[in-house]
Amino acid sequence: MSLIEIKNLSVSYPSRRGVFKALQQVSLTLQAGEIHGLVGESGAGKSTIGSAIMGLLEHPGEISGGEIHFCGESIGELSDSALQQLRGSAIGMIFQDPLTSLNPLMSVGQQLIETICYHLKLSKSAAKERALALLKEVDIPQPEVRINQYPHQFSGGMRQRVVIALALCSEPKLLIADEPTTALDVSVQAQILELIKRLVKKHQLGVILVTHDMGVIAQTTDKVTVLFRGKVVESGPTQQLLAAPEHRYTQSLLSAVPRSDKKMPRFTQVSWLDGAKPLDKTDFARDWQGENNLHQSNAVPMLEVKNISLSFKAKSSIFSKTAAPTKAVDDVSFTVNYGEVFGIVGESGSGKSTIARLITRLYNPDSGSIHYRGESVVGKLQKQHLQNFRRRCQMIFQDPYSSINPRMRVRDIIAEPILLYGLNDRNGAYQRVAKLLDYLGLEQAAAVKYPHEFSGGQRQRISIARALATEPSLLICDEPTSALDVSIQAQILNILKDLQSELGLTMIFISHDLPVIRQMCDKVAVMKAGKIVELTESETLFTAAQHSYSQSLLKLMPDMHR
Amino acid sequence: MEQTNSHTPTAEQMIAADNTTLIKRIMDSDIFYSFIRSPLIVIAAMLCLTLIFSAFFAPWLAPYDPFDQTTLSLWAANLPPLSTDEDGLFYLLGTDNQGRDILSAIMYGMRTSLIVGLAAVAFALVLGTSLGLVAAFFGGWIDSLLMRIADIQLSFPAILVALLIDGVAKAVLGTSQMESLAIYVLILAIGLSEWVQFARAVRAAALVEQRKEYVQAARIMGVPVPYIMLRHILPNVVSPILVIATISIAVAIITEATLSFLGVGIPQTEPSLGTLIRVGGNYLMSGEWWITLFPGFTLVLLVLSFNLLGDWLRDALNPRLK
Repeated sequence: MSLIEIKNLSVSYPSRRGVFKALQQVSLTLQAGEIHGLVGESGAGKSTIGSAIMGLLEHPGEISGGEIHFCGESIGELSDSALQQLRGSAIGMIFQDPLTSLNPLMSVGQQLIETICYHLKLSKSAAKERALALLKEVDIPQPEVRINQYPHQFSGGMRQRVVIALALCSEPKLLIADEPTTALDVSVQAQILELIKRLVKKHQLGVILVTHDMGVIAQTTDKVTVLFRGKVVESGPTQQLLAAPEHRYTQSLLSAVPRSDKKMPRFTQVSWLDGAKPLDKTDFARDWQGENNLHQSNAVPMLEVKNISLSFKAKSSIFSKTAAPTKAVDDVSFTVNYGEVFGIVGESGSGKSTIARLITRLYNPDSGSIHYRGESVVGKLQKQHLQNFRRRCQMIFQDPYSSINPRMRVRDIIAEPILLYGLNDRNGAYQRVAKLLDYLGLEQAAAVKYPHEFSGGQRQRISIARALATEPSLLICDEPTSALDVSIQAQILNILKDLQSELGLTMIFISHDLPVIRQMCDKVAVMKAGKIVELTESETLFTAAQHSYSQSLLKLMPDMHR
Repeated sequence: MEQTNSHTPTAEQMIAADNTTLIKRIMDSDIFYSFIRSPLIVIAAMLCLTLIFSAFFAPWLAPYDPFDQTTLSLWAANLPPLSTDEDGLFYLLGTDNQGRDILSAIMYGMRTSLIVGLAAVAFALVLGTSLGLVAAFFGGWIDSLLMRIADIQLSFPAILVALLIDGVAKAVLGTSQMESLAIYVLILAIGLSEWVQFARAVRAAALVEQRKEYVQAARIMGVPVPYIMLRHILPNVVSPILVIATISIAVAIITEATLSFLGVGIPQTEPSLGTLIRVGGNYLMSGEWWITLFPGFTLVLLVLSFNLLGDWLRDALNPRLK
């Protein structure tokens, strides 16, 4: 008997604008001791399957057809109290964000013991024994000490381990893990996935692993189901499906994942997408009024960063002494030459984004200097010089949902910098906007719309259009695609690549994603705790990394091409 | 995207098309949808509009002019509701001790109450919003100073602050001038007692907004500070301002009524709802209940409808509750 069997499950969300079908005729089966991956882009319905099993569909969602059998019992026929029982004890759940899935006001021990007492009806002391055993099982060092600590005293990865221990409290048969490692760094992600695999073997658990990351799927799961807009596109054993995908969507999805093993001239785009138009190529380069750095060779580098440091001090008050400042950027130096793509890679908190904010003058460095074309751009500058630098140095942000003002029309968003620097009058600016929209593959009608009418990928294009409006020579991209789906990521990265090759645009490309870095960059700096540990040619880093930290990063990166 | 024809309209044409369908766009918006689906709110809004309408058109709608001394007759004083006097004049809600029609007095009184309430809130809104934006954007000692002032003011009841300002104004202006300027002093007093709510809400919302990347993008571009505040941050903190404004109107009306009830607000010559309640209160013991009950009831309806609208607006504008 299979642990869970889903037959023709349909879930719909009726709303005023018609019924949204989140899932249509989805079927899958899961045996004990098996990890089943659900993969797909945002909105594909991956998480909805988990919620439907748990009976936790958000209002007004409802199961509109099909059946879910858990250990042979139909979930639909259970009473509310029986469902509650099932939800608590037989099925465990692990969420994406370990910070919000633990109660910050209770010690880890209290949370574990309370859950164990409730489900297993044990005495307090027996429950504590069990809690310690669980913490040990999920590899928390010194469980006797840690059990009395509070969630904030744990790191992100450790917290996720506690969440897993908590899910195991009731000795469940099924675990639903919804993007369990998305909020974690690569090195931690590898450990957590390893832990889940080990627990599955030991306890004969069934796991449904929801993720958008093909690398995670390849390394962890036994079977995989690919979803596209609420429908199952393809399903089968992971090895087989990844090696020889049958459906066109799966094929193009797989090929769109940036490769880490070799550099490709362009990214393969997901071709099988309804409604998405291929980009027309307009000759933007001929129109470009700014400098074309393609054939320029200069003795002075475009950007020279020398020994910059910045530490953040905890706010002092009259009641407490100032805490020791944290060094966000510590003695960092590098140079960026004309027409070069300079990559900065590192885990969260390594100071990558702080460097971008230092260059763009959002922060002032404590010490060190930044020179743009041989002239200092730190501290107080002459108005003319400052204006010129700001115009020539633009930035693209990570989150396309917060990086453009939701209350402005698209054309005003893009025209703002043009008008600000007095490059053109309003009419001329709007003409320029029209050209930019065209170049980035957006329709002319987009100009008078508001940002909420666009998808994430389209918004990121608007953001790029705004950055290009002033014809910059240095473009800083801070994780420009990490909030986007793989298929959209490929489109955006191709746009950036074209810009680079047609205009010779100099770029600083910040990312935590090593394969993307390999595809995009000429030179790479690897950062750890505010310091650059290795600075080398991109190809050299991937073939012969010198520093032990870079090596371990490369080793831990989940990869489906391996 | 919706244009599949060979002929795509220019941006100007699209805007023109936008404006002609403004009503359609309102009808299509989520706010309107949520509005039409909650009967209680529709009733509250209709009540609110009816009251406002009858207040501002009182000179045309009211059956009698309660301030015209020549029409008042003591023979018609203290008549209970639904009575007719010797001249055959009908009084729906009765008359007061001077023979004034209660219904007309309520309509005129409500007008004064509403003017004070709306003007005071408008004053508090402008003051609070600007100070909140400044505090959020500049931070540091400016923020600390403004917010500590706000904290200190919050530790006094609003009514006390209003009383204080009213008292100071009386001392400065003198009684004779105070009579004519009473309404402006009251607006100032109530406005100053309510700016704190706006300042705190705007500051909190602006702090969230300005950490977003679009504000950082504007800063990187070097957009001037006043421009960032007015064009980028302000439009994005409008929702909390709107919600507080609606609820504040109710509070301002209550504050005005309380002050008038205590006899420090609007003088008796031009009575507001609070004044009417105070005057009527004197006759409650002698059995003339209608003189105070009807103005009181109107005040409850007015405040309740504003409060309901404010609560609904808060939920409807909260994206997390959608």
